[in-house]
Order: sequence, then structure tokens, then C-alpha cells
Amino acid sequence: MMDARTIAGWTAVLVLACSAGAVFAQRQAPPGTDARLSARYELTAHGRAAGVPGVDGLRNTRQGPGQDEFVPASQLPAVEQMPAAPMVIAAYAFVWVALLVYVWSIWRRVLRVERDLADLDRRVSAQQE
Amino acid sequence: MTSRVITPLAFLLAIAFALAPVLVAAAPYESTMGLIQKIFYYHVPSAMVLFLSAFVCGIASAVFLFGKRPGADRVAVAAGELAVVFGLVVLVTGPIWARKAWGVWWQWDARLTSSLLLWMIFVAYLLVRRFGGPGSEKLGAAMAVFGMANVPFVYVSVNYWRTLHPKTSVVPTLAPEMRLAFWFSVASFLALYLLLLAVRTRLEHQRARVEDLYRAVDF
Amino acid sequence: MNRFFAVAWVVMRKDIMVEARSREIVYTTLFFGVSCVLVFAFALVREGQPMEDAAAGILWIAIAFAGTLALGRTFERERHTETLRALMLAPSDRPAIYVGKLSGIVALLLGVELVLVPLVGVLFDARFAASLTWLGILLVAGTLGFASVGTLFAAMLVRARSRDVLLPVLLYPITIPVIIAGVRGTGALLQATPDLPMARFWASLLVFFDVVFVTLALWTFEPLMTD
Repeated sequence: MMDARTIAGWTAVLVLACSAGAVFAQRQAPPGTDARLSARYELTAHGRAAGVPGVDGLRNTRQGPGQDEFVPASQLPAVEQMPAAPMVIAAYAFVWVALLVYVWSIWRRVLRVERDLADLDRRVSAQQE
Repeated sequence: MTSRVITPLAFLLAIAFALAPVLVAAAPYESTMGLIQKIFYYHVPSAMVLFLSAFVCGIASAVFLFGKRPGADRVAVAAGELAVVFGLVVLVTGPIWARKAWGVWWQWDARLTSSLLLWMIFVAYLLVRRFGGPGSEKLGAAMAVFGMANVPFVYVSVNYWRTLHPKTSVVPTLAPEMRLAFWFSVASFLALYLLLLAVRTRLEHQRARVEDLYRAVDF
Repeated sequence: MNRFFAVAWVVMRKDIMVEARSREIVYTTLFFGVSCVLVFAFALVREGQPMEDAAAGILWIAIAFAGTLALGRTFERERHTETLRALMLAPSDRPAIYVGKLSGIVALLLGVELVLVPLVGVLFDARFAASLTWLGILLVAGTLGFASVGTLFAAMLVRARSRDVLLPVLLYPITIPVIIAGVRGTGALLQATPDLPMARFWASLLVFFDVVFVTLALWTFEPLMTD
């Protein structure tokens, strides 16, 4: 007699395999078979904002799939000329501060535990005498 | 005793972390994004560490749950906490980059949203561990296992919902100097992660020892 | 195998019978769900016109909130009378008990949805009737996914401190894919011409989620509920 969990496990494997097949078939399907899904897949494939609904108004510096179009900084719209240096410095400073604070908190916790341990060790040996 | 190993390692890491910004500064400017692209050298490695830590926590929790090994639970706690720390780094540096590159702080994009959700799962994990009272190790372990199983679902669902983030395929297309700085950062973050994981797990071991000793001593 | 389903059936029948006699959870959950829908109506209906696409979101938020309430209350009752411990002491498969509790909660939530769907349909002018089959599939699959994770967590939390707060804290991040799939799938059905391929995609994602998480719950229920 089979355990219910074993049966459920095999069902999960079967469903996994089926859906992997379905996804694969979806990708292989010629465009137009399922217009909406393949359109979404195209968008995902390019990963660009160009036509994503709802983000048309977004000012995206990267147009199209390539990175090769060079746009001189002086020709960029005003929002692009926002100074980047303070933001980069802020990001790096944040990473440093966050990691240091975390290391400091571990340090404090380790010190406290070690103090407790030493204290207890002393008590245990005192008790044994 | 372990501090003899950890102190020099920590020292080396501090040097590596100090060196990373130098390499990053020396790397060429990315043609379309310019200076702001340099956030990427810390952002992507932290995201890698976030996902790595999530999987370490999930697998350690599964080992704890099914194998009944208390040691695995200590690794899981350490990994869960580190996932939250590195996740915070990802979620703060990401919007700073997005503000300049996309013009908005936040977009409901697949990667952003799934990283946020993954981070929230581990915050919930820590909350349970902290406030769940007795028996919360098992609760937390279940949360971590379910959270790990949830990652693909979150990703697929959010992916069909929206996609905007630059693709992972950016990494192989980097210029050689950029690649050096990038992989140097990845290596430093990974080493830092492993070191912190070891220290944090050891802390948990010592806490367990303190508990045992408390029980042994009668006051 | 037969014994497994016999145990699950007994547990479910017990839950439904207790509920049929007191009707406590049905009434409170239903009232809470309706209040949720009304609160959203006040927030999202402007100048007599409901916001576009609001109906699907409101329906699923109401289901998620009411579901959390029902889950908490079901296990609170077990805790209050110490009956969960008795169930665990019974010489039967733990996973069977899980399946029984899960079916009871799914049945309860589906009953609540029978009221919520027409209510949202009327208040937000949503044409649910146009594609009832797919709506039914989405609701059943979504409810099962939500309840499969919820039942496991609620059962574990019975012994934990501050369980009322922790249930939503644990449950919502994990069930986000269910909510996204439910809302988007229902939204696709509510368009002027129902977008069936899209609904089918989300329904299959939900079924996939159900299978994986029910399996995972069956495997973890035993180690989790053993001291």
C-alpha cells in the first residue's frame, strides 16, 4: 500500500514535468498562436521598458536591446543630468555603514555570550569542588 | 581560539572591501548610464548573496526538520539573519540606481518585487524566531522551507505581471576592466558572507552551550 | 489508503458538524468579508463609478482576509478545548488529519465565496456570470492554495506565543503568488471580452502551486506537529 505522501510527491513531479513541457511548448510556438502570451514573452525577452504597459511615461535611458547607442551627456533630457556622484557615494556609504553596524552587533553579542560562558564555567567548577 | 583564525580573515576582508571601491573607480564608465552604473558593483553581489543565503537557510531548515539536527537550525538562523542584512543592501542600493537610470525610485518589476518578497519572507522568519516563544525553531524552519519553495512561484507570477529590470545577461557583456572590478566585488562579498555565517553560527552554538550550562548549574 | 481517507473524512465531518451547530465561524467570517468589501467600496468608488479593474482585487483581498480570520478561529477553538492534542494522540496518520482540516477549511471558505462573489459583482458592476467555469476553477484552486499553507501554519501556531499576529505575518508573504494569480486571472475574465488564454495561464499556475504546497505540507506536517 502506498503512502499518501509518496503519491502526492509523484504527482508533484508529474505536474512539474508537464508544466515544464508546457512552458517549453509555449516558447517554441510560432508567434500568433497565443498572441498575448507571446507578446509578453517578447517583452520579457528584451527586458526593456519600451512597450511595457503602464511604464510608457518612464524616462528610460536604454532604448532597444543594444547598449551601443552612445548619447552624449549634454544631449540628455534634464532629468538625466541629475548629479550621479552623490547618489553613488550615498549607496556605497550605506553598504559600508550597514555592514559595519551588523558586524558591530555580532561583536557585541559574541562578547556577551562569552562573558556568560566564562561566568557559568566558573560556577560549574565551583560547584564541583 | 577561533578568534585567531577570524581576526586575520576579517582584516584581509577589510582590505578587500577597501580595495573594491578603488577598482570600481578605475573601471570605465558605462556608455549610456555613466557614473550611476557603478552602484552595480555592490548591488549585484549583494543580490547574489541574498539568494545564496535564502537557499542556505531553506536547505538547513529542511535538514533540521527532517533530520532533527539542532546544528542545522543554528546555520539556518545565521543564514536567515544574513539574508535580511544583504537584502537590505540590495533594496537600498537598487532604488538609488533606479532613481537615476529609470527616473523613479521604485518600479513594480519582476526582480524588484520578487527580491522584496524574498526579503519579507526572511524578515517574517526572524520575527517568528524572535517572538514565537517555545517551539519557534520548527515554525521558523517551516517558514524557511516554504519560502524557498515559493521563490520560483513569486518569480513566475511577478514576471508575467511586469518586467523592466536589466537582464542577467548584462554580466557576460561587461568590458574586461569592469569584469575585474565586478568579480572582485563578488569574491569579497562571498568571502564576507561565509565569514559572517561562520561567526554567527558559532555565536548560536555558544548560546546553546550557555543554555545547557544554566540547566546544569543549580543556583 | 482507504484508512487515510477515512480519517480525513472523519476529521472534516467533525469540523463541519461543529460548525453547523454553532455557525460561529461562518457568520463571523462572512460578516468580516462583507465589511471588507464595503470598506473597499468606500475607498474605491468615486462619483458613483467603481474604479476600473477594482472588482478582482477586492474579491481576492476579501477572501484572503476572511480566510486568515477563519483559519485563526478554527484552530483557536481546537486549542481552547485541547482537542488538537487529542487529535494528535489518536493512532492515525498525521497527514490524514492535515487533509481533513484542510478540506474543512476549504469547504468553509468556498461557502463564504458563494456570498462574496455576487456581492462584489453587484457592487462593482463586474460581470462574473460571463465565464463562471473559469471563475470557479480560479476560486477553487486559489482557495486550496491559500488554505494549504494557512492550515499548516495555523496548526503550528496553536502552541506559539502571539499567534494572532504571527499567522498573517507568515501567511501573506508565502501566499502572494496565489493572490497575484487570483487577481490577474479574475481580472482577465472581467475584461469586455474575457481573455481566456490569460485566465488559463493563471489557473494552471494556481494548480501548480496547490500541488507543490499540498505535497510540501503533507511532508512537513508530521515533523512539525511532533514534539
